[in-house]
Order: sequence, then C-alpha cells, then structure tokens
Amino acid sequence: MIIDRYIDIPKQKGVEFWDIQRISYIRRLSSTGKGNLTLERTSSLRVLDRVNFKLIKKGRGSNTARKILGKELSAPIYLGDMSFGALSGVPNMVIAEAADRTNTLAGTGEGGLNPAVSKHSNILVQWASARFGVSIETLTKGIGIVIKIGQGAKPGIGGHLPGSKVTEPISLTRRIPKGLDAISPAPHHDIYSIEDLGQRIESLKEATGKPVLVKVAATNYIPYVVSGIARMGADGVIIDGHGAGTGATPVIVRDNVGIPVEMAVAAADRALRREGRRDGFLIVAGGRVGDALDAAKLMALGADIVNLGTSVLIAMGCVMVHKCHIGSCPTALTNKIDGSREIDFNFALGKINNFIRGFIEELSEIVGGVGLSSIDQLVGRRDLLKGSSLTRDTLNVLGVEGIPEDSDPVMRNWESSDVISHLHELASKGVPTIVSMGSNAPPDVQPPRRITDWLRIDGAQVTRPSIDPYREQIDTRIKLLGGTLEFSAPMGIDLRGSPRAIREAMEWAALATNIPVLVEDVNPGYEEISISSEVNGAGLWERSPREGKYWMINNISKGLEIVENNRIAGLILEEFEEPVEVMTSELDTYLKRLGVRDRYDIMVTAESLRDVGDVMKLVGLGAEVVFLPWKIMELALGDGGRTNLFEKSFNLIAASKREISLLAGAAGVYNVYNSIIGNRELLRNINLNSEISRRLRVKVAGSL
Amino acid sequence: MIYQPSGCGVFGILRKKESRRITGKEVLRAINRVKHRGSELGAGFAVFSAERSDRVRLRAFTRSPDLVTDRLSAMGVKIDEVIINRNFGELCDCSLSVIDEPSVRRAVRRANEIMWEEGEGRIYSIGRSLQVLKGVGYPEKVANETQIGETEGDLWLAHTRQPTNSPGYYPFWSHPFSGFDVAVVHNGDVSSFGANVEFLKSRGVRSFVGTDSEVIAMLFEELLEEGLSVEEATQTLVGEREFVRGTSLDGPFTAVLGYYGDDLYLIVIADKAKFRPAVIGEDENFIYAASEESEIRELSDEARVWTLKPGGYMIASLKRGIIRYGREPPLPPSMKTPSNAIDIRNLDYRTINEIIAKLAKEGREVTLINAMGPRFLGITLPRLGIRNAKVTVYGTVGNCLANLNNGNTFYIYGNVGDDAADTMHSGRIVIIGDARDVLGQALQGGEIFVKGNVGNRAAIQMREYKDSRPYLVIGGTFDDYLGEYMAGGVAIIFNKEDRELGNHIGSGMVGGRIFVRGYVKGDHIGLGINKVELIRFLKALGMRGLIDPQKIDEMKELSYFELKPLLPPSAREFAEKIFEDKVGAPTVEYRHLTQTEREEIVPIISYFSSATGEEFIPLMEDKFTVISRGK
Repeated sequence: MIIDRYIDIPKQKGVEFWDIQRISYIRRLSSTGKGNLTLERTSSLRVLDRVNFKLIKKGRGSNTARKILGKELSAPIYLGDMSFGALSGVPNMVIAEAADRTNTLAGTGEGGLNPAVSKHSNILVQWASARFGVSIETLTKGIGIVIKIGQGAKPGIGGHLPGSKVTEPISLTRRIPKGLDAISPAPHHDIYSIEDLGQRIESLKEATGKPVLVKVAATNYIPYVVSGIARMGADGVIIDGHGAGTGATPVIVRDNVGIPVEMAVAAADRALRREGRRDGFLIVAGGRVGDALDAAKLMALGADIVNLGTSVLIAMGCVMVHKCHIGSCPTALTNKIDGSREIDFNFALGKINNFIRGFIEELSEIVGGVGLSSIDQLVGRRDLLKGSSLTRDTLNVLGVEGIPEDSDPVMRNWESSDVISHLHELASKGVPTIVSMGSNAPPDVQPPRRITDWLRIDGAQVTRPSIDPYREQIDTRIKLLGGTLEFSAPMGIDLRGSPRAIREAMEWAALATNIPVLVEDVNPGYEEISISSEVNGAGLWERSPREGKYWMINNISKGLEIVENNRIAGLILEEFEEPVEVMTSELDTYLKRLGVRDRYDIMVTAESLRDVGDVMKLVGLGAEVVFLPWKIMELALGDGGRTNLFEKSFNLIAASKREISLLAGAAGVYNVYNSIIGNRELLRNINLNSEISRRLRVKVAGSL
Repeated sequence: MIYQPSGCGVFGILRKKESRRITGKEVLRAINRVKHRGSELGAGFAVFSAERSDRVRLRAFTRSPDLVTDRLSAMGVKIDEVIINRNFGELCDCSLSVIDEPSVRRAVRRANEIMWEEGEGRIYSIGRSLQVLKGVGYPEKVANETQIGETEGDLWLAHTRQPTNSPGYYPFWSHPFSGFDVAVVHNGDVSSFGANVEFLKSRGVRSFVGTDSEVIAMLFEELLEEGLSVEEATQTLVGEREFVRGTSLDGPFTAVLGYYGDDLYLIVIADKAKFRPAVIGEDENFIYAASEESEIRELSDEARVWTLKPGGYMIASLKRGIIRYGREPPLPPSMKTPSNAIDIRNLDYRTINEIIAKLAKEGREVTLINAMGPRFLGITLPRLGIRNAKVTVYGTVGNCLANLNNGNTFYIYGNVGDDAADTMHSGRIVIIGDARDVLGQALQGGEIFVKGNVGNRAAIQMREYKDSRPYLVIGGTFDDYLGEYMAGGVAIIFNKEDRELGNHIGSGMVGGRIFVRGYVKGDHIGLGINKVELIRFLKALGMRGLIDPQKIDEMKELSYFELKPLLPPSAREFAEKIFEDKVGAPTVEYRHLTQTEREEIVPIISYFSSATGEEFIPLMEDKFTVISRGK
C-alpha cells in the first residue's frame, strides 16, 4: 500500500503535547509552504511557553542564513536524528533529500546508512553505542559525525528497536538476528568519563578528519556535561530535552528522567560563556520544538540551531497514534519494513519542503519582529525575553526577567489515562512497558497530581556511564531493621483494606518477588514479608511509639522529639493532610542532622502513589520503602476481567521491579540501597513551588 | 554546594622498606605520560614521609594567611610558623606549622567550615607526615611552582585533572584531597556522591568544596575513626563490606589513597564495573599505581604489572610490602626488543601513524620499538585505503589500537590498553601480552589473538555478517561481562593457567558462541540471582502447587541454569520474568567440541598457536563450557 496523502487525525484520548492544534498548524504549513505566525499561545505548563519575547512586531522579515560547520545554511535547522529502522526507510531518504533541497542539515541516526541516504551532502552520521552500520565508509560520508551518548526521550538508556521491526533488511544492516529487540548498550563501553569522551572524539578526528558533535540528553549535570564536551575538543553539542520523540522507550524512563531543553540550553550556554568556551562551539537544541517561535526562543536562550524531529514526522503525515514501537504506523513513517506499506517519496518530500520553507519564513518574521537584522544576532539574547508564572529559581536558570510566581503543587485529581494504561500493560505482560513518541507526563504537559510529578530523576550522561539495565547486574535490594530484613526492592504494597481476592493474589506475588506488604493481620505463610500490626509479622507497626516497632504517623511535626527518646524501629509515614514527599524529606533531614539516620527506617504509604516513578522519587527524598496502594491492581485490571489475578499481580510487581532497575541504571547507580536513598543530587524539580522545593532540598533543573 | 565531578590521570608510588626514597622529579615524569588524560585546569602531588614530627603541617589557599591564623588561634591552635609559598591572583598558598594536639583535627575542620562559608579560603593539606602540593595547570607547571623536583618522599601521589566543569582557575578543586594524614587522587564520577555527603553530614561534616574525590578522603578518614581497620575501610568503600548506608562508593571510580597511621599505606580501589582503569606494578624497589601502564614503564622496564579485579583493591605498606594484590600477579615481562627498528619512545601518536602509513604505502613491514602507551595506533589506515599493512610494536600500547581496522595486521609484543580493535571489520591483531578492558567491541570480521589475559567486557557486541565471521582467541583468562550482547562470531578462551574467571559471561547474548575450556560454574554466566529472592520465589511456587514443596531445599542450592530445566513450564514462565534479562539467559553446555566445531576452529587455533609461539591444539581435547544464545 502506498500512502500519498494525509489521513484524518483521530480524536486524542488524553492531554497531549502534540495536540490537534499543533498538528493542524504543521499540516497547514506543510500544505501551503507559507508562514502563518501566531504569537498567541493558550495557557500551557511548559516552561518555554511561559517565556515570551517582550516586544515583537509583525512586519518585515529578516535574514535567517547561518554558517554552520562550514556550510552556509538557509536557516539554523537540523532534522533528525531518526534511525533507519525506527523510521521505515523512505522517510529516512526524504529527510536527507529535504535537507539538501532546503539547505538545512539532517542527522541519520544510528541504524546504518542506506546508499539512498548516503549520497546526500548535508547529512551527519552517527557513532552510537551499538556501532550499528559503522565502518570507515559510513563515517566519512557525512559532513560530520555525531557521537550519540543519549537522547531526551530516554536519558541513560540505549536506542531500542523492538523485535517486530527487526526484519530482514534491518537484520542485515545492523548485523543482528531477525525478530529480536535491538537494544543498544545504555553507555558507550568505551566512554565512561569525560576524558574517555575526549579520547573518542580525538580518535574519530584522527580516523576520519571530520568534525564531531556529541548528542546528549538534558539531565541534571548538563552545564558540566556541555562544558566538558567543549573542552574535549568537540565541535558542538546536540542537547535533547525531555519530551523529545522516540521510536521506542520504557515509559518509566520517558516520563520520569531528564529535564526540559529550554532550561538545559540556558544553563549550558551560560556555563560555556563563563568559561570562555562559547565562541566557535555549536549548541543544537531539540525536544518539543513545535514551531518557529519555539525555535526563536531557544536561540535567544542560547541555542545556535534547533533540531526538528517529531514536527518533521507530523509534516509527513504522522497522526500521533503512538504505534512506532509496534511497527504498525498507519502513515507508513515508522512501520516495520516488510513491503506491506510505504509512504510516497514525492508526497512526503513536498510536505517537508513546504514545512521547512514556511518555518523559515516565520523565523524570519520573528527575527525582524524583535528588531534584529540577522538571526546570528539572536543567539543568547535573553534580554529580549520575559518570563511569567515561573519561580525565582526557574527564572534564574533561564536568565530572563520576570516576576517570580509559585504555582499550587496539586493541579488535578483525575487519573491520567497514560498511568492507567501503563499499569494495565505491566499486569498483562510482566515486563516494563514500552511506548513511543514524546512524553505527555506532568509537570509540563499534563497537570501534576502530586509533588513527585514535579520532580525529575537524573540520567547519567558522559561524566559517568549509565548502567545497562538489561545486561548488567543492578542491585535493587534494601535492608530493614538493622539489616535483619532483606527485600528485593525499595517497594512494597499496602494491602490494608483490600478485597480478599486481590489481597491473596498480591500477597503471593509479593512473596514470590520478595517485596514487603503492609497489613494489619498476617496471613499464614506470609510472615516473612509482612509489616503488620499483629504480632507475627517480620516487622511490626503501631500508631504510637513503641520500642522495636514501626511508628505509623501522618504528621511528623507532632512526633519528631519523641523519635529521639524512643527506641522505635522507624516510622511509617501515612498521607493525611501533609504530602508524604514533604514529610519524608523533612524527617530524613532531621534524623541526619541528629546523626541518627541509620538507626531508623523510613517507610511511606499514600493512596495516590501510582508507579515506581513515585517510588524512586520518594526514595531519593529519604524513604527506604514506599508502599504502593493495592488500588493500582484495580486500576490495572480496569473494566477487564478478574481472572488470572495471581499471574497479573506477579506481572505487575515483577515488571515494576525491573522498572526500578531501569531508573537506577539510567542514573548510573549499581546499588540502590547505598546510593539512592536520600540522594537528592539525583533529583531536580521543574518550576516547583519554592517553599516546597526548599523543604524537599531539591534544586531546580539546570542549576548546579 | 557546587558539585565538581572529574575525569583524570592518577599515579601513586611507594618505596619498599630497603629501597631509596623517591624524588618529585621521577613522579613528574610518570604523571606526564598521561598528560592527555588531564587538562590545564589542575594538577597536584601528595608526598608522605614516614617520620612523625611533633608539628602538624597545614597548607591553605586563602585570601590572606591572617584569616587562617585568626580562625585557628580562636580555636586554641598554637601556631608555630607561617610561610607564604606563592600567589594566585587574589589567593595565596601558605604553609603553617602548628603544635600537634588532639584538638587540631577538629579545629581545622571547623575553621574550614567558617572560611569556606565566608569565602576566605580553605586548608587543603593536613597531617604530620603529609604534604599536598597542588595548583592550576598541567603537572609540569604545578611541579615548578611548588618546587617538588628535589623533594624526597616515601610515598607519592600525583594527579592531572580533567574536570567536567570549572571555576577551574581556582586551585581548590585540584587533587589530591586531604584528610588528616590521608590523601586521595581519583579518576571517575561517583554516582553515590549525594548519599555519601548525606552520610558525612550525619557525622557532623558541614563543609565541602564539592567533589567526590574530597568525599572519598573524608569517608576513609571517618571509617577509620569509627574503628575500622585499613582493610575494612577499603572494603567498605568498594562495597565489599557493609557498614552504614552511604559509606560505599557507586558509579565509576579508581582512587589511589595514601595514609600514614600505624604504617605508611598505598591503597588503590576500583569500582565493581571497572569503569575506570587501574594498573598496579611492582619491581624490586617500588610499588606503583597508575591509570595507564606507560606511567609505570617510564620508571621501570622490569616491573610486573597487572590490573585490579572489578571491585577489587590493592593495599601495600612500607613495612609489609604488598598486603593485598587485587588479583594474582603475573610474571615479569621478558621481551627481547629488536635493535634495528624505529624507536617511538618520545613520538606522539600522529607522528607514529604517519610513519606507519608512509611505510605501509611503500609496501614495507613496520617495526616499532619502545612504545610508551601511544593511543590510536593504526587508526588512519582504513581511511587511507591501506589494507595489507603489517605492523609490529614492542612496548606498551595505549588505548584504541586499530579501531575500525580493515585488513591490516598488528603484532604487539607487550600489553595493550583499553578499547583495542573497536568495530574491526577484517585483519588480524596478535597480542603477546595482556589486553585491558573492552577488547574487540563490535568486532565483525578478522581475528584477535591474545596470548595472556583480557580485562572486562571482551568480545562485547561481536557480530557476524554474511561470510564474515570474527574469531577472538584468548590464551589466559578474562574479567567480567565477556561477550555481553554478543550477536555473532566465536570467542575461545583457553584459560591455560586455570585461573579464576570473570562473572556475567554472555549476558544479553543474542548470537555467536563462547567456548571456555573447563567447567564454568553457573553463577559466572549471565546475570546472577540472589539467594533470598530464590528461596522466597520457590516457596511461593510451592504454595500454589507449581513445584513440589519437598524439593525446595535441594533446588535452592542450584544455579539458575541447573534449576531452570527442573521447573515445570508454568513455573518456568514466572522464573523467566524475574530472573532473566530481556533476551533471556544464555544456553550453557559442558561437553567436548563436536566434529563440525573442530573443523571450523582447528585452523584458527593452529594459527593462534604459531602466532603466539605456544601450542594450544592439545587443549582442544579438553571439555569446554559452550555458551550460546538463549531464547
């Protein structure tokens, strides 16, 4: 089947970043090739949308040409880096052709080089951790080489091509067996540090004589990372923000790891300027660049070029049905290569050409509109911007003016369909849920439902390696009661008040996977995993402080002094009025200040915790164990049948445990118990209420 | 607090009891060999002498020495002497000598808190027998400024710094970092940093300049203070021993520690993934620790050198020599070097590659001697279209040998650094010595022969293509993750000395075959499983009647590979979900080679034998553990 026209955009289930409005806008541009600049933006939680040009007049256009890597480009636009395999072949050729025709750049991704792509003159080729398709021939085909350390959709995780898409041609190009997932190593096994990166940059230059860029995901240490990359002799960096698109990623990583590109770019640009390394070094910014206004703002924050990925797919007809990882793309962009469905080359090329031309026209209008004669002058002009509804910390990281404003940390009380379908998949498949395209997670697309939604977890990039969660041993065990109790993960299930059938199934699954359950009475056979109020549990709790027992409280301000004078085993914090995030962090801090933190365990339970994203953030704030409510099982089951409860419970817990390994590995941690509990360095907040962020001791994204 | 992760090159040297002391000049020569690992942003030295003086010597970077003396005097420290050594813009580097009293340690810590908070400076060296000398610049510059050339010591540490960020024009972040008679140089970026800091804060430490290296020094000092022995503290740092949470290090690190207590100690630790290089050396007079072998070779041709095991440590002391080796050490090298060849001792890699290319183009064999760790050897040949060069090198070869190799042959008489033969497509590499970590990553054609041992992650991502099948043959043993994510090709390991094997063999394997001579225990293959977890899992299976509860006791003693076939299919499905990685655990057999395998492999091993000058064919009669793809 040949796809040669746009198909209708289906109704969207939940809140999406690439909503109907954004998709329709790109389609309009791609159909007419004429700019259609709108400066009005409906209310959005994204930080970039809360930053605007102070003054922008409609009127004359301006010069958008820039010289990049020795090429005189019509505009600072980089298309990519989508691999051969993630995309279905023809789109790869269309993108390379479009870059040549519009005189912009295209990155080829890591899947090897098709001859129909390699003949183009504006491509950059990739050196990625799996070396798919790498040879001296491919490396010397482009105008430069991109060392791909990470990407915004999955910081700390390697490229992932699901087995269903590893068909014959892909198997031949990548030299791996057909039908098996192609998962690139999470780190480059030759780049575990900044001097290793320097060595690889130097070796590629010696071997090929080409310029070298380094692509990284935007994560906690982005200013250091970029400064290191510059010092190591790279010609530039591609910073990929969270929310960027992907063909496949574990949802837990996509929705919890990494920071927004706008904050990363501003922080990186400032670090480079402070060190005198900004001149002659290229910053490419990507991740949710939807239109020319986004592009112009990112440039004013410090980017030299913008990276367009998802928007280019939308220009070619993507309708955002999130099926890239299955290989059944209805628009033949990311479907598996088996000859069944193909996009028409000329149709796609025409649309991209129009899109880029329209985009450039709008960019030109903006540059002129802010009073500049050339786009070169726009880079780093934070003074042209102002922020609104942003915290003081966020404004500081961005370096833009604005009146600081704090938001309410809880903005909704409804369940997100994304969270429910995640739980459902875990329970039905028993492996971490894989999804595709960019994140719609809080806090910058969907409204946050609790404080954990404002926090992001670190992804290791360059300064230290991430740990491959699929192939290397990550220790997620935790110990309680002075080491006498051992569980397999810092996670448990709160089974108090659960219906009998769910309790039986989840308790069994908890035993089989060795995680604790929080109960009142103990069922025979489950003593060793029960934290109970009855006498025969492995750990005991009460609602008053008793020697050797856990004290369950819902308000720590009442209890802090008592802790010191009682030989309790620890505390179980139950959410009542005060969020458990704040209670956990303050208790952890308080006990550390007294020098007695290692005498007590901190456990946490709350009705509205949902997945291991919540768990790991609370662990970072100081909890040893986070109990998820039994209700997640009910959510996972949905309207579906109540059959196979044992298997589904086992799946849900076993897969969640694996998701903990994914998050720990992404952060570069081998040992959860030693290295994550109370380690706030691994967390950052995005525009979180200042008072709360102070009480959590979690810094804002982009700060050091 | 600002956090300053850093990469780097490290060096340590301890004299043996009967030997002479070591001069600063020698230490500088060694660290200069890895100048490429560092930058102009910082370097430093620590020198220990095993004589206890009745004075404690301090060194500080400060806006004015008066600030330091005022702070210390206010806390009752009696100051003997103050010397200004040099100036750095608004800062000066000064030395203080103070009367040794038990209160000095606490007073210095407290003074540092206040001074750092007030932006007055920092005391960076403290001890009765230790002096840290550091600054901004390459080692050469710092050595000149601090005039270490003629200084003699019993133990030295040296460091060249590659920070990931810098207010690097200040010297505070240069290494070594010091506790009381403790000094640390470090290469890595500790991911447990936040957790370690939280632990130290809980022990009353309030002030950090903000780098993981400083935290390592503080942790070591704190662990000793809490009553641990030197070895126990070392085991705690590498995570082999459990103490209190936040006292172990995670993520990549190689640290070299000097400590003077009941004896003078040189300690080297490596992370469990061996993400950073750690080379140990020993000769008649000295014990060495280095990032790269060339640092040791600069001072000693005779030293035997080895690497730490993943997660391992080396402890040596002045009185006792090497106490823990970190792995069984090899014999010293006995290599005859030809005389009529090109001496590359002091040539940079670009020049060497130009020489190779020029001679190869003329169709001549290339023989190079006295290699002192040059990186990137042979890497320009593929682009120049040179396919049949033969290059022979004597000495130690640095990282990234023959990456992208396409048809050329390399003979190396000596040890080879990390990342050799990355993405090699065809050709041959013969190493008469050991190879370090990540040998033959994404190897997709040709042969790699190693007569000795290899480090972590050899043959990872090996793959084959149409009629191109690569072979990697190892005469000795290997460290962890051999054949990780292997997709094709053949790895053959003879382990001729029957040494200990690495763990996690074939983890994530999707193709290819690994032959290890002899029986390999199941817990060395794939990802390990935890006993407590296994027992509870079996118990749960028993509760639902999926296995016979009577059998649990015998099942729990088995390795996963032995257990799995005993489980009924319904139970096996559960087991796979928690104990196997995404592509499944590898398949393992213990048997003689089949006729077909012999026919394929014998010609390769014949060539391996003749290339290495040692007969391996008879060993093919032994039984092998054959590891291949699982699901």
